[in-house]
Amino acid sequence: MVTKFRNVKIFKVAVIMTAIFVSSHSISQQENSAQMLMRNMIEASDELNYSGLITYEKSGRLKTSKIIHLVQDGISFEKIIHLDGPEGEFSKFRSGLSCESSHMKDTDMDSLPNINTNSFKLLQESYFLETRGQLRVANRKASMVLVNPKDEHRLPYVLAVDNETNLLLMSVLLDLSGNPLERFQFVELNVGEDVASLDFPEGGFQAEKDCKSADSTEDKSNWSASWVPSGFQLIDSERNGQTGQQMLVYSDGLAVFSVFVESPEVSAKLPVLATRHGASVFVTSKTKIADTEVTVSVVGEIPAGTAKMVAESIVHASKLLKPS
Amino acid sequence: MSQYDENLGESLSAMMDGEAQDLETRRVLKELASNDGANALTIRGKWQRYHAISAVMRGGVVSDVDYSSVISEAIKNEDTLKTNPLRRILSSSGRFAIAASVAVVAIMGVQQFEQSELNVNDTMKFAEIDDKSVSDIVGPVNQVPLGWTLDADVRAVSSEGITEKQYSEREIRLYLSYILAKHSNQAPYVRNQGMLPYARIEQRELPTQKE
Repeated sequence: MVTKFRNVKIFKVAVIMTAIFVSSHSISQQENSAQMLMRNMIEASDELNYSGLITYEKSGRLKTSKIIHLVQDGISFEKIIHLDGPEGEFSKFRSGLSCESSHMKDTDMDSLPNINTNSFKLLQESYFLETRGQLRVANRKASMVLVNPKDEHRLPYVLAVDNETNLLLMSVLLDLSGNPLERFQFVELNVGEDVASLDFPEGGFQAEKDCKSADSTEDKSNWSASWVPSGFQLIDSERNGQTGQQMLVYSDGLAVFSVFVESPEVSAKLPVLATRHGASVFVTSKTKIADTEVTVSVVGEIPAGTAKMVAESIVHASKLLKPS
Repeated sequence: MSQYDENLGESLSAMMDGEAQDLETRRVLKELASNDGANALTIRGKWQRYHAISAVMRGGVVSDVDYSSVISEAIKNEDTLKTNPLRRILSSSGRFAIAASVAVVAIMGVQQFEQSELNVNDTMKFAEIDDKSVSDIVGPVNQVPLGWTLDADVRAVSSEGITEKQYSEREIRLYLSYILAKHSNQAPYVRNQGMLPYARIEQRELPTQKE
């Protein structure tokens, strides 16, 4: 009798162990496939020719736009045309070349920080990636990926990645309670040769400022954050000579927030406030430099509490140099 | 004595005791309306007698002088109270002012409440995303964006917390869209979201206007 019981016990333990092993195996497999999907999606977004119609909604407003992404000789041309509301379009050239291989002269193009290469690694440090089954978007079959943050300083995303082309078909940004803040979604997508036959604009691309070195960003900034959530890196820093505005841009590979330190004149017009516009949170804080009060604004797709902590952590370089 | 007269007597008696029902009171008043009617005279007589009896029972003074006609005459001759129209307007606007100030206090209270709620929610909570909430997102229910916050509204809070400094709401809104546009222009360089950051760009012209 006793041995029989013992056998049953051993059997139970074996079953439980197997279950644990199988489930942990499937979880890691899921993690792997989600990472593959994400990596493929990032590559596809950069390398494919595609155009389509998208909807973008936030704050209860729906916007429709046409987007075009063309690639030629390692240079991408990206364009978005707004189809409703005020007329407008926005286009940009981008180079996939690395800094060493591109020797193009500067133009008045906006500066492009070079976060592309290591952003996926960054992203993995701050988010869990999981696949969550199949869905259909823009009449295409897609895999759902849940991008779940590892801490409370960033927001979760639900993504739909096209099974055929790996392009991002849908992205829903959620708040920390799981409510959607914004939704980006294709309603029609054309990929490949039909799109490639569209004329690649000529003469527009002459410059590659994708290669801002870290040194050049540092010496320009008088202000810096004494605290940012782990995983966030400074990807751009600009000082506007005319307005005296200092801008710092941070990213964890997915979420981006910008810090603006305003001139005393502009600062005087701004109260301390916290508000939200769709996916973007906006928080201001006041700090003093040599008895002058300046306003620090933080804007980004991050939780309001995090934005507030960042805003309050901004210090002037002169304060950092002082021995504590 | 008819049944009706009997009923009338009972009604009057009930009125004396303060126990008359609406219908009974109305019946008595209706009879009194005909000033010289037989019933009216009977009722008046009875009313007077009942009061005399109750006065005697309470040990009061009984007088058989009828003051009623004199009193009603005096009331008739009295100047009617004339209301000043300006006064009427002022008093009603006063009421309105009170209502408005109550509303303002309520709105301010709600704003304060909402603001504190926003801070608490976003700072403290870190909700796990479960299967249900994810299926809600892609399900047909959520095709209409539920739980979307309204347009950014500006709530000014002074740095001291007590003294309110006046800020131009228009300027704050302009500043908000300006830095939001600047921020959105930077975000596309993080390439992990495809073309999504472009969709966030709304007012392309704003940064150049100010720069």
